[in-house]
Amino acid sequence: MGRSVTRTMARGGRLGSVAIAVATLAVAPRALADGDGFKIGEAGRLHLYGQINAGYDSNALFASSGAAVGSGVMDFIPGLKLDVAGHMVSLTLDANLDYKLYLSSEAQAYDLSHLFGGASLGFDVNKEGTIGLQFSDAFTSSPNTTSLSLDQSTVSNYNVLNLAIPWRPGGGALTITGSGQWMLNTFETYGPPCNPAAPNCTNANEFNFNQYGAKLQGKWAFLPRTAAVLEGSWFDRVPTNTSLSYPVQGVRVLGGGVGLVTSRLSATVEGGWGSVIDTPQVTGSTWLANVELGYTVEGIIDARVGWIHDFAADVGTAYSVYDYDRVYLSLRWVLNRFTVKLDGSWEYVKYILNDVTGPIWQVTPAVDCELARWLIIGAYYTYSDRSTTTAPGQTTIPAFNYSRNQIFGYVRATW
Amino acid sequence: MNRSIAVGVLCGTLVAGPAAAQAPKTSGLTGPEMLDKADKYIVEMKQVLKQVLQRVSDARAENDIVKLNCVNEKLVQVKGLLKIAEQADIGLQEAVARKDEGAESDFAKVGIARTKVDQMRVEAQECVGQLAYVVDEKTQVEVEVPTDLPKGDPTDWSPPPPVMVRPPPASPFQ
Repeated sequence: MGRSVTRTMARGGRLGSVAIAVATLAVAPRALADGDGFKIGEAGRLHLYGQINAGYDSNALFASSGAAVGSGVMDFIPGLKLDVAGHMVSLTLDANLDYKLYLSSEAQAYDLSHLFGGASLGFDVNKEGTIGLQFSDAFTSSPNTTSLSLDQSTVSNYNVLNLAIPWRPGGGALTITGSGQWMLNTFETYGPPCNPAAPNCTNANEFNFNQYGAKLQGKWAFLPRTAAVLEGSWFDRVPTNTSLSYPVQGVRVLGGGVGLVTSRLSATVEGGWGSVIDTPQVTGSTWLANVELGYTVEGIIDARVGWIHDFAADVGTAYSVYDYDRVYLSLRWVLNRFTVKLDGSWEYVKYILNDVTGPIWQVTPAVDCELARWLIIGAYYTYSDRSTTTAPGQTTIPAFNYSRNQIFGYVRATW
Repeated sequence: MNRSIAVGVLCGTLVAGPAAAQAPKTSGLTGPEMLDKADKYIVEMKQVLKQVLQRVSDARAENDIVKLNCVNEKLVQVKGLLKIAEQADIGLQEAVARKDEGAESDFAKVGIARTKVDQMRVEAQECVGQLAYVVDEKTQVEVEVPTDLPKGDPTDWSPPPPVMVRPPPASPFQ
């Protein structure tokens, strides 16, 4: 079975990071240098920022002939960021709007122009103490979605709230963390309506869902930066319309080791088992794996390559649960004022109920140049490709079979 | 008080012991050889005395009363043994000059004193103070972490974010 918008809390951190990643992607491919900002209290600093992206999307939409229609695209992104680094409490807030303007003379493409945005709030209380409290909430409104089963373009309004209580008896070598998560994802139709023959073609908001999760994790740091981890998690996805999407529950158990192997080399090796439970329409279980190798030279290079095998719940019925294998890489290399970046992933998805399969490719090389501490320019290129087999009796679904080239330049100023 | 008794008993053993108990075993050495060896033993004992004095000085610098008492006790015993050895050495020289059979007895005293001083040296090194055991609110544990380690906690690992997709909007006429 596959991966998800639901590796609940095991994936909880991951889902939280999804929202943050969405916000970050909407803003820029890099967390940039900051100006002085406004001083807030003794330990706080408020920054205002603005960013303009300009580029080209080779597949803004499919025309009625089935041909891809390209369009120039601009993003106007004003935002603010607050950091408070107190001794007992640390707090971060980031919020931005993203007005996406399509410059195509094609009316349908131009009509894709839309206001998006995102916000994230997190605070950490008593992070050095025996008992702490970690809270985070992230919201994004974006045309990008983690749902792989939606066969139409949508505006995804995604909110995820995480609450965790770490308990560190005996100084912190052992940490036991209980956490809970609530996720709400709503959808709005975006662009021309989908093909009525498509399996999930209906009003996008019929696929809205809530998801609840809980996780218990034990971590023993047998070396200062190396630990053994054991965790169990549960999730429950509750769709708004249960005739269009199955409610799915699942559990995961994972164990392994994570942390530094040498001063520069890190590794993660985790294995486990996951299963759908208490879901009459879907049965299945699978082994789980997280393997990652990282190489870090502080402030200069951060490189990682990894592989994940997992399962996930998604919207719809026939496409409600899938397994996946994912291979990914990430590189950040700082060369004086320049930062060279490369992100890539290959994910092979296999739906449980209809045996539909297919890979999703994404690769993004990028480069940033720091002209001043507060001013960054950069450029990135993204190639995306998805191809999916067709279920018996179904027609080809455009949303499951497309490729796209995007190239953008941007400038960002932070005060 | 206890220390004085211990030293007294030790000295008594050395002074009276070999003479009162049984006849000393012969060393098989000639008079001059016994003199050379006794001199060598006394030099070694003086070196041990210096080492123990250094440990007393260290314990004082650390303000560690427990360790200071322990090392002081060994110091007193070393001093007493050295005094006995030096007196025996004088007796040895006189006996060798007189070609007296008592030379063997004096040489044996020096040898025993040297063995016991060596034991005191080991015991002085094993003296540990209160700081080895006391753990209170003033205790600080210093962990040396290499300076080139990556910042952050690599054990707080989470998988990378799921793949984001953005299917292109499609016309209903397809």
